Amino acid sequence: MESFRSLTVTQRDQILVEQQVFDIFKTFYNLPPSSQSFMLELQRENHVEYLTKGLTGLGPSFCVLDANRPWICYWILHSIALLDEFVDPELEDNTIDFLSRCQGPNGGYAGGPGQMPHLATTYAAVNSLVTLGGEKALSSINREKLYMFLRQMKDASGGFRMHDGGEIDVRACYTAISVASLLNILDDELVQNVGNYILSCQTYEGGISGEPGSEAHGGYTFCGLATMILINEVDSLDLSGLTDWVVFRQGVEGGFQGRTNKLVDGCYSFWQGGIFALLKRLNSTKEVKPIPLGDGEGSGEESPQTTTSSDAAGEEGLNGDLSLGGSHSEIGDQHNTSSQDNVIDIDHNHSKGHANVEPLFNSLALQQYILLCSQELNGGLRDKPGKSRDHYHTCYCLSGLSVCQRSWLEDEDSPPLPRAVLGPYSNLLEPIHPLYNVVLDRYREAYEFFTKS
Amino acid sequence: MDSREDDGGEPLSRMAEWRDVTPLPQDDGPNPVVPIAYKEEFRETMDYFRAIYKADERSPRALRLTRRAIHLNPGNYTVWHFRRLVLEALNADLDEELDFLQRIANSNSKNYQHHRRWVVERLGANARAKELNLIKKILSIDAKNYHAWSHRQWVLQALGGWEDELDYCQQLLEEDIFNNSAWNQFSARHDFT
Repeated sequence: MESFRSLTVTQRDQILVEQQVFDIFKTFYNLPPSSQSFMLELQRENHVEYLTKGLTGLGPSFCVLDANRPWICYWILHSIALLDEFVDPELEDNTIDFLSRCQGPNGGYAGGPGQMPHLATTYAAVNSLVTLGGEKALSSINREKLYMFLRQMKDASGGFRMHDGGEIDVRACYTAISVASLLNILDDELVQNVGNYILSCQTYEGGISGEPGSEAHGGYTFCGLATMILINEVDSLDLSGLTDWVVFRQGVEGGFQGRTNKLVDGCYSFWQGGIFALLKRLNSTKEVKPIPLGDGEGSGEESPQTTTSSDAAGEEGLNGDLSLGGSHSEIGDQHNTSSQDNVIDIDHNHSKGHANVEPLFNSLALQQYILLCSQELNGGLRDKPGKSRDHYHTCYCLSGLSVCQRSWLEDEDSPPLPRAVLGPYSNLLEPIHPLYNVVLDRYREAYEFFTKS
Repeated sequence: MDSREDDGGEPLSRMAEWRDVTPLPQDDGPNPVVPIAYKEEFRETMDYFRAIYKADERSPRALRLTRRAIHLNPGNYTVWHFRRLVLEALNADLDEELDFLQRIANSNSKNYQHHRRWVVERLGANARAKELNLIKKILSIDAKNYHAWSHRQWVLQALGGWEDELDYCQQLLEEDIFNNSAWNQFSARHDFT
């Protein structure tokens, strides 16, 4: 047996984390059932309290995030929305006002009032406003100027710069395209060559890196895949290679690592977990012709949803409910006002009579990691045991949890079966739109708003 | 130009050289959300930075001010961007800039890496050896540092040196066969050369 000292750094670090995590699991499994139930409960009230507090005041140590304040807004607001809670109307108004002050005179949102506009903080601000919803929030976004800003950030290579003179990478591409898509201002000028740039970032491992040549990384893989779907070029990626890579990123702890041979981290519950949500949509809509998003809503074609106890039958529902914008060619269509009048036939029975799929990752194991290892009982979630909670990890652990709970469903809107939700059913979070990571209802409202205006 | 001495956090309002500048407070509005309880030094530094930034003053004192602001928050990309503009306007000695960057090299921020790239690009081939060595130092502490590896690839691409990279990768893999960043570098070597 090798002595501890002859292990490499990778091995040592990994063993230490495994010990901590398995200690937690061992303790858990030795608890009486009632205590186990408690440990698996999502501490909703405490999380909301932690989140709301952050919205109203942050300590001096947060000065290192002074150029990221729209991000803090998004992490907090999105988490609260996932928990199906609401923010005081006064706080909502204050948020809309604050973000308006972050909006640049020439478009886009900066990290704080008076700073330069930046694609990432633009993404965060727009997602925050979409999450708040309502006329006031949505109309506060100056779309014309934002479009100009996006055009200015577009680089000849096809990628986008984060800010004037800033770096080009896959994340910049995603934030730009995501915002453009959400606000219905995506066009050929913005799209051209983005696909080529992202393609050049898919590595030999199958994942996607931040820049050409760098290491395959969960965050960038999510960004790259989502962008390719949004611009309708996902088929040029090596999807089977990508899938092969991401399935092996889930560790024995149940959580995901960001890169091969690195440590588990709760935030990858979304960055990696969300990839599965995206892949699921791609695979499920492959046989179906796309319909524009608006037509899927209230078309009166929904069949009643029934839950049976047999897991083969699962739920019957509007299997063809493509109102989630999942089809790869739909995204281009839906925002073309000319094609919105086209009603294309769809086959409602495409998924052979059942609306359940087997997730490609271990959903319950990830939920177990999130609830037992990432969750802090007095509010907030974190990277791993031993690390401190923060709003970023709270956001992405909860986002990942939402993805997990719906990972058996084809139709993300339907209520999951109880066995899909680890812990009490009250742990159920709101469904998200995996391309943008905003709560689905808010996405729909924004879609309606930005399609009409 | 850019003084090597730390100005020790002395309040700007008490410094003679800043007397002509009216600090510009942040336009946070009456009821800001996610408000940060800035320490006095931070708030004051940023108030003066905002004033200089708005006036687009690209002077030696502006350069010193950006250094102060960067120390307080290396994540402020606006400050980094403005620093670049000031360096250009002053036709500053970029070797000195590299030294400055070296002293704050513990900052992993992307802004830092991006700014560093800009400096090295201008210095050209002469900066190569120094850069590659510095990155080796960073990687010796954190062998998988993502930004360091990206920067390393950029340096090799822009200034050459891929021939020696095989040895370096082998060395790292002898130390830790599981270092996936080193494996990735192997593969990148083939793609780039």
